[in-house]
Amino acid sequence: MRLDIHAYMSISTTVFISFILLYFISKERIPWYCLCTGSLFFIFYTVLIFVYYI
Amino acid sequence: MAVLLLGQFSPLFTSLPELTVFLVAILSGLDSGEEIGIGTILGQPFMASSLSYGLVGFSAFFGHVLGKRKSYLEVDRSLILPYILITVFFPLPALPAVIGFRHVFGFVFLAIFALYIWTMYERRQADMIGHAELPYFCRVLSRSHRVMASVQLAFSVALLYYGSEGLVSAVDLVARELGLSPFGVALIVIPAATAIPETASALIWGYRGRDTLSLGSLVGEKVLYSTFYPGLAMLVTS
Repeated sequence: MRLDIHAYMSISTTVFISFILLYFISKERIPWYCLCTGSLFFIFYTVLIFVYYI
Repeated sequence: MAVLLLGQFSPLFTSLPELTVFLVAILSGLDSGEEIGIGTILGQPFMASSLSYGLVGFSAFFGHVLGKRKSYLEVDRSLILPYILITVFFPLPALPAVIGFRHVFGFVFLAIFALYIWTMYERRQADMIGHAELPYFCRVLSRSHRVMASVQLAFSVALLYYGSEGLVSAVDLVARELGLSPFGVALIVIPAATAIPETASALIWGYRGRDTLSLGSLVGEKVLYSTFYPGLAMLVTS
């Protein structure tokens, strides 16, 4: 299985968001804006792929 | 026990579109087939973490603005175990690319998924399946349930296959024509299409204030994508 920068970005984003959610799940309360953090990563990644051809 | 275990295996069935796309991609014979297949596997948790959770957050926000719910999600601590599993195991498929032993890792990942199902069964956190709905063909054609259910299953599998083939060749074509990485395009485009059902149900639950159900509908498949599918990918790709 060959992995490149896309795989590592996907993995690091997913783990980062999971860590944040894990923290809030342990408190049994997740603010809505915390869930929206991931959208920024999605927009950032889409721009990298389709605009900067990474 | 059968009913309880079926509840835990349900993500295997709801993720059949992604599995079909993955298998079609790696068996397509395309130069970029393997990249598209692996992009599909790694893309689904990324899509859930970025776009799906984001949409659930906005859904909760609009629900709050419209006076339908609170501004935060109240969730059950039972979600901790699957989230620990995702956080710990999702990065691990990168290890064989660095240190080797791909097949050993593949079997270990499949074993971890089996262990997770067993643990959830032991803790009785599996979903109970109540009265199953009649297949659509049975309701419309009013024939024997077993026959029409089989016909509907065969029809659905055929549609899944042809849909997946079209999706994989479209991703390959777009990547080649625009000079983009097939892995990168597959990572964004395919999960965006295949994650629509669970994202839609998470949005509806989130809007109605059923918060644990909302996150739970997204987390089931993420466990699968952190253990079962990477294991499968390590065993069947080169």
